[in-house]
Amino acid sequence: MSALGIGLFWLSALLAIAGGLGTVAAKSAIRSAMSLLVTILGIAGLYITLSAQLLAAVQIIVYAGAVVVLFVFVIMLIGGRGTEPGGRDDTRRTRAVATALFALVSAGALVLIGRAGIGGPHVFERPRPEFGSVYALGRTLFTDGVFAFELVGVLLLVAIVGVMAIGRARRAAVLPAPTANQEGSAS
Amino acid sequence: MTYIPLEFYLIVSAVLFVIGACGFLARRNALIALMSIELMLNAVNLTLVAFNRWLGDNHVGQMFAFFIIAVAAAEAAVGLAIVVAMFRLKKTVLTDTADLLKH
Repeated sequence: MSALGIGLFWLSALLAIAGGLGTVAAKSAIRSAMSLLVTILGIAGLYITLSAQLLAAVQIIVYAGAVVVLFVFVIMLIGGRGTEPGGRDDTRRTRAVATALFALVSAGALVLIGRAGIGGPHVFERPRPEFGSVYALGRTLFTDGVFAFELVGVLLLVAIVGVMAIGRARRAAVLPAPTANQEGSAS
Repeated sequence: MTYIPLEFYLIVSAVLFVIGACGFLARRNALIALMSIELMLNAVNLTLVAFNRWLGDNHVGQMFAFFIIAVAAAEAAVGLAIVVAMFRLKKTVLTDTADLLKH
């Protein structure tokens, strides 16, 4: 791995972890969304160091271009009113719980790693020239994974229909329908 | 150091997953809980891609990461629709207020 790749790894790892911490620790939702964007950029950089260039591009397009924009759009719709803590001042307790959980899980992971042992550094071999290319990944996607690929299409269609069903304003409950109104006036 | 071993990627991924899990358990804002889920999915994706780079014979790990990205996009859309519906009902997105089935 070249010096550039090593520098990109450390920069991306730092961005990803700092963004993750910012996402869960930020007070306002919009700062969380921006920290999530930083994490996503960091993970895309890590994909590039793993010679998964297509996946890095898809990560930027789908996550930074669609998911984070959707989050920001919902935050804009809801506004600061709905996202602020509702009166009760127990953020300190919440933070203590989060810190305790983090310490507990980290200690457990360290114990498990210490018992199992890492077993020497696994150094990556030089990849084949076509590794991670659009051709090679597309070939796998449309031969081994073609059934799952079609099912993902169905999943996205179901998600679209579900979002429309959930997010639609139920005006019929607020305003009476025209036919019901006519019947009410007739009686 | 002249190389980055596989373990470094796995450590970054594990740290991100733990951050996401703790955020999901500790935060009361439904939007931030959803973002923590995205963090966890990204950590899993990183593990898949790192192991695929280690076993470089095929691209199945990267294909899985593709499908996880698609599922995460669908999950974000449906989750945000639920948050909007909840805000319409409760005028807030704090998960404490979603206690309709308790009363």
